[in-house]
Amino acid sequence: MLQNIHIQNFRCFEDFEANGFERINLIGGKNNSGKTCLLEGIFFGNAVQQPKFVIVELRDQRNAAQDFEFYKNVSYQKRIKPIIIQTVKDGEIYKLKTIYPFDNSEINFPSKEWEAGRVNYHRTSFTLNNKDNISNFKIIELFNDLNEEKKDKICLLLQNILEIKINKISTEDELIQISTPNNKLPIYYFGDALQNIFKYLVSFFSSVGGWKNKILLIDEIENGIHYSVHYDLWKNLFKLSKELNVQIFATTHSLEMIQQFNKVAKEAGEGAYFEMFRNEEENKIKCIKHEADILEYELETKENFRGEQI
Amino acid sequence: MSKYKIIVEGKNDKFFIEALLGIKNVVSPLVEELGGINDFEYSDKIEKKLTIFKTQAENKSLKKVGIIIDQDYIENDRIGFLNKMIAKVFGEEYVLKNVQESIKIKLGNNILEISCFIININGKGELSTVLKAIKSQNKHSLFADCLEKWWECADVGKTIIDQVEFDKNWYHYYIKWDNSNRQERQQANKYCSLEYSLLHKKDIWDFENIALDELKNYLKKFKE
Repeated sequence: MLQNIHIQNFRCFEDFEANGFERINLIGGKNNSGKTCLLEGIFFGNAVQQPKFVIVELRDQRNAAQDFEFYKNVSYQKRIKPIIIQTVKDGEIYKLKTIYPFDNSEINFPSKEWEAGRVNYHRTSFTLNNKDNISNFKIIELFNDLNEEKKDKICLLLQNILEIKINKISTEDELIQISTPNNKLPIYYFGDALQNIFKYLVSFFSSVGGWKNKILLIDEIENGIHYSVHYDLWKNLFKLSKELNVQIFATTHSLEMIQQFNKVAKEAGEGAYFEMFRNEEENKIKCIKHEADILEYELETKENFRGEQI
Repeated sequence: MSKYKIIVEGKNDKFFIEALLGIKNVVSPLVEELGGINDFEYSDKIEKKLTIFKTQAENKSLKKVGIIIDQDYIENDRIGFLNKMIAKVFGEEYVLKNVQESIKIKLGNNILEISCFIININGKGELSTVLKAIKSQNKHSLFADCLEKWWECADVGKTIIDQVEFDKNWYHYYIKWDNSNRQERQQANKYCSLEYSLLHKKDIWDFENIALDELKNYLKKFKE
């Protein structure tokens, strides 16, 4: 399980640390506070599967990661300093460092300290948001790869979370089809909530294989989801996360999402909320962990915990 | 943005302190209420608030924290009570010695100042005692004063209703029956509340009363 991350020279982070991740992690903060960048940093950091130093030429990984739309946001412009992402997973340190053709001279490569390696991003993690980071095509492919038992389970979970009647989920004409007691319709006929939660569930059940640290990254988890199902959504995500051993990192702007997350986290005895913000005095992005008890009191007393200045 | 925080026991304390400070910052409140009903709850909540403020001082450059609590009507060491929570959160080396005096705590690159004030009139009481003491001399309190008779008329009145509850009733009556009209009384929750009187009927309170001098002097620490 990913416990800590230290990111340098990556997108909005000059030198950023977040510590104390748990199995389920919710991240809040104002716009442009670095929440999505943190998910991206986790994505790359988690791709390092061996507890040794690895240099990654991001250029070479582009094809491997082309499914992930955000990849294009990684800056290829000339940098003076290399991107360094250091993670601690199950007590072991993993380090990823980029090199570029123009700064090879600055890094003694290869060296004893750094061992060259490639990173395979495929199926180590999934990032989902309202911009369809996993394309519908990809979701169909992942869904088709699942066995019937898992497909039925997804169907059941969708019914439980959204309180709707679904007889079956199938693939026809390269579309996900939802069969209700009345009709059968392509998934895009349904609202964002069903489509989004379906993607989360497919990603969960697809996250199999030999990877040691399976993670699910969800940007703006509240998108399209009515507040009345937040509790059930978290309840099921917590349960699945444990059953399938998948670590979750989600971001949110929603107070209701945080309230229901806290409620489920208190019941489950696990799960942590992280607040991201820019410290104006130090001109630095910071991340604070809020323990469940403290967050509960902050919610009760309307304390600021979503990146506001004091 | 203010880098100061004041914590008080309840929402009426918050309205009162905000009225004295002449501010009401809703987005990032300077004055925050603990919300609790007794010392057992307050000790837990003060500890949680101090834990939150410690994190804010380390990461968001919080500079000053003021804790304002009631003396109440019992003999108790209120500063000693606060010091227990301060020791738990910041360490035993940090001890408040007197009201209004600050202790300075180094947290990361920042220094956090903590101080306290105990609300009382002549060594006893709480907010309602203060409110009773600062009733405007230009306003009558006929209905509120009649409560004294009511309090005495039942044999067991004073054993069931203590001074704290009596003082609370007194200022509620003072606002509702001595200083509100019929229309206002019909929507008493809004128009006969302490908050409303502090914002819109300021003349029923004597904010220049000497009973407030020490508290006003303390609050100067939190004015930027």
